[in-house]
Amino acid sequence: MKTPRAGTKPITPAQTRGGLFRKYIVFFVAVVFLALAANGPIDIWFSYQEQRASLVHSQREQAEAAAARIGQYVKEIENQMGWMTQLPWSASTLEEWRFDAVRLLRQVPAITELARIDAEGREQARMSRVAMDVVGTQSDFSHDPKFVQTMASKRYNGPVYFRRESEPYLTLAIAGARRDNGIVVAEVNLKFIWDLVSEIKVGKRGYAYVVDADSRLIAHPDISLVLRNIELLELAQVRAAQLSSNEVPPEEDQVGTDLQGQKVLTAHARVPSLGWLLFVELPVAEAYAPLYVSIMRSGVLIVAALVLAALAGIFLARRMVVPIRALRDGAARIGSGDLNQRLSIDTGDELQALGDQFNIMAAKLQDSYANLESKVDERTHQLEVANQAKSRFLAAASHDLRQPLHALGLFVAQLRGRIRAAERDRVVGRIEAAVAAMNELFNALLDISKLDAGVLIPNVTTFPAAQLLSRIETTFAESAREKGLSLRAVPACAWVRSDFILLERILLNLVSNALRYTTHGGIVVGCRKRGGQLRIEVWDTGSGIPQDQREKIFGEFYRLGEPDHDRRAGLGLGLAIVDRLCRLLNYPIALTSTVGKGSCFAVTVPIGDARGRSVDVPVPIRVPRDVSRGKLVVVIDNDPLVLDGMGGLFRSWGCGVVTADTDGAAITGIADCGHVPDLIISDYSLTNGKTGIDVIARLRDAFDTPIPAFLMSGDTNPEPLQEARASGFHLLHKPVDPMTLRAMVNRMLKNDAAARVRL
Amino acid sequence: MRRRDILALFAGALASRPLPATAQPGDRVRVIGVLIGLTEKDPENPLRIANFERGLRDLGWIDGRNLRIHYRFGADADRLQASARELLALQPAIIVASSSFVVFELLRLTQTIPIVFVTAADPIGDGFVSSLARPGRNVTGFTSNYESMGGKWLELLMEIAPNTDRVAVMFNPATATGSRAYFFPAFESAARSIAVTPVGMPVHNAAEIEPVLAAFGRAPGGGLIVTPDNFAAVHRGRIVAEAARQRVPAIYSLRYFATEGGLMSYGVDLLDLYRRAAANVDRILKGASPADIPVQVSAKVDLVINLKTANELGLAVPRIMLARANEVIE
Repeated sequence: MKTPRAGTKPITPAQTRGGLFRKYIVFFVAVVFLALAANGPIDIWFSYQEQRASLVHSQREQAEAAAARIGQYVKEIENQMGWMTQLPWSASTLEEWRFDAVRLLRQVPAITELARIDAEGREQARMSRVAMDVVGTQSDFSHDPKFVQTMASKRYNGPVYFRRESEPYLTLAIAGARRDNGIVVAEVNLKFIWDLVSEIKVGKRGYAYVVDADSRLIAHPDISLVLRNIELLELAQVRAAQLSSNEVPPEEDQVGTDLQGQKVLTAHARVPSLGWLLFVELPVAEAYAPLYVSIMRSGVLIVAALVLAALAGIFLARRMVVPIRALRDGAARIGSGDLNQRLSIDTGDELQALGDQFNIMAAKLQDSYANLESKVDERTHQLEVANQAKSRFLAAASHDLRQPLHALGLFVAQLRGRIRAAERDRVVGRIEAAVAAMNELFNALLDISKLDAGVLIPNVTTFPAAQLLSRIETTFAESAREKGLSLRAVPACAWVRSDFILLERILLNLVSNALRYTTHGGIVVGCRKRGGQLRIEVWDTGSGIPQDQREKIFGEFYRLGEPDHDRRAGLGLGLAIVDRLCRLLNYPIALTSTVGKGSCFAVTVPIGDARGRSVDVPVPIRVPRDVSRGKLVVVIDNDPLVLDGMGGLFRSWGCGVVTADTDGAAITGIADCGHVPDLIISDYSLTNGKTGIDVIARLRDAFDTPIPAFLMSGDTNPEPLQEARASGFHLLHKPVDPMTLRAMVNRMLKNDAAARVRL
Repeated sequence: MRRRDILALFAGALASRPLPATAQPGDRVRVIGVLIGLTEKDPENPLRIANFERGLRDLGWIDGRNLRIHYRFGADADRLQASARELLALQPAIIVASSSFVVFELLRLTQTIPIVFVTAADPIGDGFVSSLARPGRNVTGFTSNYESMGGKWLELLMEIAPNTDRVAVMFNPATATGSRAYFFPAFESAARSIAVTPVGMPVHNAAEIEPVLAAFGRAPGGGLIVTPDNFAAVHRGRIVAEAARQRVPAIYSLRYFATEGGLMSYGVDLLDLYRRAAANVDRILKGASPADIPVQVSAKVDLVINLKTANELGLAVPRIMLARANEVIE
């Protein structure tokens, strides 16, 4: 099945109106019509042939019968006449002759005259029905054909002739067995044959007629035709019959023409001994009349059947098309959004099944829409919650930022005034502390952002847990002592397989939290082997966490109860970071706590495969040997304050600095200096949508050397982080503390130098 | 459903419609008239009517259904005229006339209405037709016309009554019309050939029958031939009676003479002709013109002998005559 092309418009209801319906009906009617139309003419054709054959057959039979009768009739007369020539004329008396003649006349009413001619051809007696009998005329018939031929062939019949122009007569003559007997001649009135022919009836307008050996009409129901003494050789059937022998004529002779030129079905028979032909004919129009009636009937039948077929077609089509239309309309309604539509189709067949399936589908659609809606609602709700959280996050962040900023302003103001060196150092220290607090906040925000962006890729190594714990201890020893708390890391001999820095971070945050929320007592960090994994636990004797807040504390900016009012007030982000890190590393984190007694945070990490491994610990950043003195550094940033600050700082380190806000300005600045820069530092997001990556690339192109470069960014959005990672440049997040900055600069320059040396 | 029913009816009607054909008997009621030159009460009439109607029935014409036949009679010219007028007033399609006399009277009144004569001795001589094959006008019918019949009648009479030496031919000059001229020559020559005296016997009216016959029968050896004549048919009773009284052997031309006491008759079968006349009527009703229908000559002549009369006359009927006879009345 062809799939619809994308973008084709669906066919409109107006276009389909009646389409299927009409198709069915037309098809139905056409089929019925073809069947009947094929059947009808074939039937009629065969029927025509059979009818014709049967008619001609019957006609032929009649002709044969009639011809036989005529022949018989004549033969009878001849037989009767034969008696009269049994003896020669002289042998019988006149009385005897007269008696015989009377008897013959009685027995054969058709004979009007009888004549007795002796062996010499002389007429001896003549007896007539309508005239006086004569005897002994002695007329000489010796040369008369009737005498001559009869003596020769024993019988003779003359041509048909007419008396008084209106009576047909035939001369028959019979000779005796012996030549001496002479002959007897009879004039036979053929009226009787006319009667016989007239009696032959074929259908309503069929008739018979007789022609003699010369094709002259001698008998016909219409006597006047006979009396006209016409010859019928013009008629094809007569010609054919004269020519043919006595066998059954071929099919083509079945149709002839009558005297009016109309076509007739014809059959003929020969009258024995006389050489006459008897034709029995039926006008073709009458012969075929039943056929025409039959055709008419067929036609009417076809029409009736077509009407019936149309009605049946309408009925069936309606049964089919109405449910289909219902389906179409239902689908249209569903398509326009009304999912409550249900169809009711009651045809009890496949269409009903289709309708039921349709309903099921609509119900399912409705359900899934409802589901979708509820899911959408849920998701929206979640988004709202997240949005709110974000807003709170921002609010809290901005709040937490204000404090140190405020302090910073105060301290800077203090520096402006007149103050002693010792006080100035103290204030500078305080400024550094405030900056550190702000740095911490931004670092924490960056961590969260990085974690959310999925940019952090754990660098899994195997290292001893003890190393990690000792570092933790070292980091917080001073703070703990200041607060009067004990901090102890339980010695462990297990090895851990994890990311050192990230795991350290987790523990740093946990211990930091513990310190912050414990007023007396102490913190213990230890490891315990549990089910093939290592459980690192941080115990504190703090105020504990109530049941209802155990989930919430892992949320951003969530600070539990009354924190320790310390200058290093918590941000509420520590556990949020821990939570994200644990999700990233897939470590389960567990919390047990008793309010008033203390809490225990436990992280379960995989045990690492142990010894033989060298400790692969990343060395924290140290201040390296200074390789930056005398190098030319290009700094590109769109913030003039930053440029100013960066420039001043680099100059204090002894570097040459070119500051610019665009790559074009940078190139100009570099050209003023006169040699290729050694390092490019660029802000990520610059004006006009350009990125630091583009700028670095341009500068590298301009000087045709792979100048070392790294990026700096104030962006905590995930995209720049990802793009920067993809570009391969290091990225430092503002605010960057000067030490970190210097370390990165030195590293870049060192690597470059090393690379150059290798070359 | 309704539409189908109507269609079925329509179809049926179409299918059973008869073919257009030539006019069938039964399309409408045709009117014909029959004028018989006898008295209304003549006992011959029922027989003639019966035969005629039978002939018509055989061809599909039934009196009262598709045909209306009006019979009128008239024994003399006046009566015939009156009856003829009556018939013509009924506007018949055809008038069947019983004899040439009736035809004569009809032809006085109409030259257009087809006339079929049942018998006429000499239609050509009487001017009814121009030829037997093509009558040519509105008259056709049947004839027993053999002018040689005169000789035959004579021969038969001589055979039954060999002592006859003079033979008279009775006719009414008014009604016989051409008959006398028609039959007489053959009769005359035949008579002379056997040494018999031919006599003409005109009878002008019924009253003359007896005296004329009485005068003839006074001398013995007389024989009588009554040629076809309407007058004779009407008054056959008187003629036959007088001939018997006068002891004159007579030969007639129609059977009913013999059956009613005449010695013998030799002539056409009239009743058969009435039956055959129906065929002509049928043809004319179907549209043929009498001008085209040939006059049919009837060759069926019957000999009827009344033996009783023969015995009364003291005549011995020869064997050959009995052999010849078609009917013998005893």
